[in-house]
Amino acid sequence: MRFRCLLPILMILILMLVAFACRSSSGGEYNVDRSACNGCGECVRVCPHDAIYMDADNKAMIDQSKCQQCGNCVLVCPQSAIH
Amino acid sequence: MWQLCIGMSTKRYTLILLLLTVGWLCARPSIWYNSQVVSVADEIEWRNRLRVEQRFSSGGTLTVDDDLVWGDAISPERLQKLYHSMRLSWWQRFSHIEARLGYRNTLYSGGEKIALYPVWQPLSVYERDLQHTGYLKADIDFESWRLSGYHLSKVLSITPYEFDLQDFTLVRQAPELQQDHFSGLRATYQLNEDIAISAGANHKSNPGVAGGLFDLTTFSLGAKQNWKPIPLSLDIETSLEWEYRDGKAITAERRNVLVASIRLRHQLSPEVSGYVHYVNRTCTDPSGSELLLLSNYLRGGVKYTLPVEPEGGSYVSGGFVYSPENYSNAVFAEGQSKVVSRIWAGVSTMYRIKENYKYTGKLGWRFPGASECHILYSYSELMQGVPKRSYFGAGWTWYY
Repeated sequence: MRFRCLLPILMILILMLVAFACRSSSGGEYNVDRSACNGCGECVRVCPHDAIYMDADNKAMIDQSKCQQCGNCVLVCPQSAIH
Repeated sequence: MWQLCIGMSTKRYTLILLLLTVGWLCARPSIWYNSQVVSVADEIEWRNRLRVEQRFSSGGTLTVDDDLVWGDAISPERLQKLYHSMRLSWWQRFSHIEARLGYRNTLYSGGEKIALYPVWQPLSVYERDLQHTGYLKADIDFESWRLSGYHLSKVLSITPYEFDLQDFTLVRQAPELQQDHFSGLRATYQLNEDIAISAGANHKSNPGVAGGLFDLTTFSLGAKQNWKPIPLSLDIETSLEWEYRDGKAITAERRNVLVASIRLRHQLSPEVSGYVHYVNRTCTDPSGSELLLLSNYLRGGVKYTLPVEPEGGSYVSGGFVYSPENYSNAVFAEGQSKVVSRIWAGVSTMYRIKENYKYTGKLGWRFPGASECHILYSYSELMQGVPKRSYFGAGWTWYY
């Protein structure tokens, strides 16, 4: 039981260390929070590079090889699920 | 609108009608339909969503989703006048196997020309015409193991245009097909009740594009813990995954990515529930000697179900998203409640800090069986420099 409690706490500490100690990358990337995506397809309609598709679970997926990080999908997502 | 639909493909709509009729005749399905007409200044937008779902005694479920969005003008929120997507999906569970097989047909019409190879060939643009997507996904459970695999293929027919530098015009080229094939395998081993480790590989190929520019292969190793300190009330999930990507379009910094996440869900009381979700993405510099921050994503929310009606349809909720690296900081709130008898009202707001906002108000009438009709008013600004949109709409949802 004690071991179980320790794992999330350890994870939070690692995350805080990584989040605040790192220098930022020169480029970024967008990803979809699958638990928040409702499969509405707004991001697919607005993507100017055909980089978003709906997967077998009807959740939006970003094709990282095509995404140009324009951020249009972030603006139209009604769930704020793209980050 | 009708001319546009007829002009596209009579065969396509006949096929959709045939599939729906067969589904209807086979058994008594559950049907959900929502239609909404919105007027924005001098533009009109029409949104239709239909879902037909049939569960069979064999354990399978057949689902048909139809999503049609039509506007009489292209807007920043919609790069084409007509978007029509129809999905047919079959889900089946055997003793240890869960499988999903599906087909999606997406029609684009009256669309804005978009960049074909945005990085190295800016003089080529294309119009999306019709896209076929087929997929198969399966999960096999065997003692402490779970094997998952999927394949998804997209075939998009496009009409390319090339810019003529002598005439300064776009010249239409012969139609082409653009293909994307995605495949993946993942093995997960449950170490104990809470902790699982996994390894996976994904490959994406884009045949036809010179030099395999959009090909991508990824390998990943991960661990996940799902801990329930208070069963049915408090749930904590943590995960850590390392991903290696190999592809020409992936920058050297994004080849090694470490994704760490923690999610907490808590049912504080029968009426109040909340969650917090944090994801950190970190990559390495090209030499692999230094960790670089890609993005942080913190999301939280609280929902309070009002004790007004037994179905729990009256509630207020609020939340936030904090992701400064990707400019997606937002606060959002939503609420709806029965006002009197069958009349209900709802409001929602989304405010993306320094980016855009949207406020919506609804007033509706509920019929027996959860069907409803409503009127709505929405006011939004999609992005700075784009005119603010103020629109009125009316819609109805029907459950069968």
